[in-house]
Amino acid sequence: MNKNIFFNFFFNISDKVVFVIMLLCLSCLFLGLLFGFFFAPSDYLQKDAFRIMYVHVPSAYMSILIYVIISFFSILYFFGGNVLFDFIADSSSKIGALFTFIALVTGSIWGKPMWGTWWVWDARLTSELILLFLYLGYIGLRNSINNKHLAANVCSILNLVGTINIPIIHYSVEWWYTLHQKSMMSKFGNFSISSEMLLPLIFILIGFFLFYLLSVIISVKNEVLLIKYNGIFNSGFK
Amino acid sequence: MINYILSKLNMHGYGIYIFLSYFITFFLLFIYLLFLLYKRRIINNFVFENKSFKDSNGFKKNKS
Repeated sequence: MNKNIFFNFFFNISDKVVFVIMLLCLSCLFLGLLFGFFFAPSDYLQKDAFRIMYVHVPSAYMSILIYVIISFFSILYFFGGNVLFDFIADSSSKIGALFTFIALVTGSIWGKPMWGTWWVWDARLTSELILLFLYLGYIGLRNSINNKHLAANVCSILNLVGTINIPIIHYSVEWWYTLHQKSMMSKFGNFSISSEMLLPLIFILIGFFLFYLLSVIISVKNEVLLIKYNGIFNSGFK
Repeated sequence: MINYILSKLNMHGYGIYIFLSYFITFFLLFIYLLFLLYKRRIINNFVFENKSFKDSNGFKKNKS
């Protein structure tokens, strides 16, 4: 497979699509916040505190989704060997760690008024914390190895081993008796919240996904620029 | 007027928690985006103008 095809693709389209994605992302976030604050009714039990859900839940979803995406591109790199796949996995890991951190912090802030404590060693919270450590381990390991090809392979293995944590996070609220509430989506198309509350959530989820795409495109373009400057042989890849 | 806005922002006593969570989220995302764009600016500086970090004079374009 010719590496230049992917390189030139990113080099040519990235700047053109970044602006469009940024506009779409801002529109989705604006609509989500507008509906979330002014149209979604208060929860009968949690009152207005439930509005923290609109940043907490999409960040948590993104943290899991990005980890799966990294696994996908890690496998592709492992078997295909295209450097661009590794760039995508690398740049995804940073934004994934950020979303995981946001999910943990906003969850903690939500937990204080609802549970009366900032943190409990609950199955869902602990497994999400382990996910953050996996992300940090992934980033740290990659930066500690000078040979980038070796680093990419080692990180792929670490990532694939850590994938076992993903179903644990998702099913932790069903497997164990936890303080954390159960998932809103038990099955596809079967939501346990009203559509007025769900609509802003979907908008912000799309907005966060577009933000993720935006950050990955910018990061990968940065790496491609460095490769073009240094040359593939001097970049640490073979 | 100020009291009215504060009472609206209070949101049943959870205003500070809602504000904190939204502020932290969007602040971190904004800073991360700025970091990426700044990195792009630095890379552009020495890729397209073939300047090293040392020569770029604090990452500013050398007009001479």
